[in-house]
Amino acid sequence: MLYAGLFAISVGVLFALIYWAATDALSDRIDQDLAIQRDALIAQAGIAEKGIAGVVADALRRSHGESRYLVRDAAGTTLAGSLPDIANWHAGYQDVELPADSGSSEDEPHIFRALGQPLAQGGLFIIAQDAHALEELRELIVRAFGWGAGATLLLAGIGGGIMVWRVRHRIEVINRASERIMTGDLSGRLPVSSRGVPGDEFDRLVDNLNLMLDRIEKLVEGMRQVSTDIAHDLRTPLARLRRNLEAVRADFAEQACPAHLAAIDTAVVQADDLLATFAALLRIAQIESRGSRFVFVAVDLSAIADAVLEVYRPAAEEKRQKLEGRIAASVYVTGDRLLLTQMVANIAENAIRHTPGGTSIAVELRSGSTHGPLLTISDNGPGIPPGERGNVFRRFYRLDTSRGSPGNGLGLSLVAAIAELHGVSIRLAENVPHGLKISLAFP
Amino acid sequence: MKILLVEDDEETADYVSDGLKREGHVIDRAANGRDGLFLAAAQPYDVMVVDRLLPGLDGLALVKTIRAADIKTPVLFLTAVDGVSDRVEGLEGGADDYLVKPFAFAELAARVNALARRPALTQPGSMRRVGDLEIDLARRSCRRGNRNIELQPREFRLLEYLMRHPGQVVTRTMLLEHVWDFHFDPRTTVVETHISRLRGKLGSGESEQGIIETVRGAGYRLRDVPKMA
Repeated sequence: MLYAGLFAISVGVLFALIYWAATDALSDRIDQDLAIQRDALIAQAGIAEKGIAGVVADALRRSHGESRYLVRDAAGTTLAGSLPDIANWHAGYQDVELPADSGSSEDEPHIFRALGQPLAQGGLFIIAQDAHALEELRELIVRAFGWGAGATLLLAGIGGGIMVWRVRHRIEVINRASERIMTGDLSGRLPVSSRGVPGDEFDRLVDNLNLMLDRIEKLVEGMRQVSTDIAHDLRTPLARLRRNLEAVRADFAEQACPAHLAAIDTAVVQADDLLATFAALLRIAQIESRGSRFVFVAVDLSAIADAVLEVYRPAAEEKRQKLEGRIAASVYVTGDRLLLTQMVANIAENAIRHTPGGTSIAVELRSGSTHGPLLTISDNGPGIPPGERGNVFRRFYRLDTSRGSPGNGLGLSLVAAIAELHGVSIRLAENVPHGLKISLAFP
Repeated sequence: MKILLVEDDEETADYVSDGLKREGHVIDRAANGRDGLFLAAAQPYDVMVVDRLLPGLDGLALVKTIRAADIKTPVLFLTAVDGVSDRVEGLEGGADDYLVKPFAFAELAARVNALARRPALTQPGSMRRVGDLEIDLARRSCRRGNRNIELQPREFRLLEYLMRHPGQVVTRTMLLEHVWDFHFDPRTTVVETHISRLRGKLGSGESEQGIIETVRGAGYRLRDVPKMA
């Protein structure tokens, strides 16, 4: 915008200079011409009214020159001449608008340049020349400038537009690529423009960003790998431990006392819990890496929500909780049915486990008209303090209030991973007047 | 029962075959896919247990090959990774059931038993009868003795699944998968609460004990009582 303004101002200045120089030169010439004619006539006839009038009448009779004259005595009476006797003739130069020469009466009035000369007995001698040529020159310059300026502006506009478009396009390409990378495709890289072997500033920027992404990818990959490796490698010895416990129990089922058997049973349950934790960790890792081909199809979210409600209702009732659903029928989303089921189930389960008896839990599914479907799970339990809300999706994170209860702190991490895979945005909010409201906005 | 076990990991193979032998089954073992294919083609088995990752011939390829050869032996697929896609691939490749490693032996035993008896239980008609319990699959009604029992749709499916496997242990995971289509482990007592409700509705009936019994460390079993005279 700034550049366009500067450009327009400089073009304007250039125009003013040309206009002024050309018209000024021409009007100077007319003025000189008038003065020469006046001097010649005075030299021929003297400065008295009578002499001038005679010469003028002669000149008019002889030819239709470019010049027109008027000779007037002190009383204002016209003595000779073809100029109309208008009141405001005066000595010196002036511009007047008069009808054009008689031959072309349909023309608009022309501007005449006139020079007045006082005469000996108080009369006035006027000599005038059609300044039409000057007007035409002015118009010509204005018109030429108009076209020139128009063409220049058009070309400049097109050129500028192309430049802006190319820059924008490259930025847009980079933006899109970085969005893709941010949504989890860490292997993605920003495109380098194919043209220009040495590469412009954009290419250098893109190269540097890509190098940065390489490092980030390696770091993230390494982190994932470590947690996955631990979970994976510890699963086998744990499974062996569990097997041995089972074998011991089977071998000594008859001899051992019930207390010993119960102790073994507890150990088996604990091993199972650990295995479940590892399984959840591996599952999260698998979802986050998007390595495996999940089956993305149209999924009936209403059916999933209904099934989850039905499955968990008895468990809620056992805790004297109310689990209610307002599920819109036939709400379809694109995704992996098993994962989406687990996501909804985990949230419902979370609500049941972390709220006391007597709590009402409401599951609501609405099909969005302007945006995607919205699933909310709200309860009137104790809620989560606002400062803690961001943490609950972290792995192994547990609120102080739930440390005593069983659970591995991975349920909501898994929810977050599944949500991210499906482009679902999760929001935790206060349920009025108290409690927690989890909203899942589908794309 | 005669069972073919195709598993390259010796420790797992020992564990599985020892356990199954203790339950009274006969086990043939193969440590790679090619040997497994040879054995499966040479003689009939009641059930095959096939690992997903095998040297030589991959587990998935093995299952596809025997299905292509029109061998209808039920196959239990063992997957090492807790992967959804592995499960889908396995079932699409022709496996009848799958189990994620590491697993409890009781889970494997229950699934092997369920697979082996399946063909015999696909009886014609819509009536199923176990003891004094009777369900009509077409009308989705249930009777015990002379008493009509009102069941919710899901309770009916739960009972139907139990009645397809009378006298057999059915694990919690099997119920979650087949009755609720939940392919993960919920951490609440979802199955337990549904079973206890179903027990409540079925009542004690003519026999003194409940018809659905709990099997410690394994799951549930529908008591296959001989019909009362």
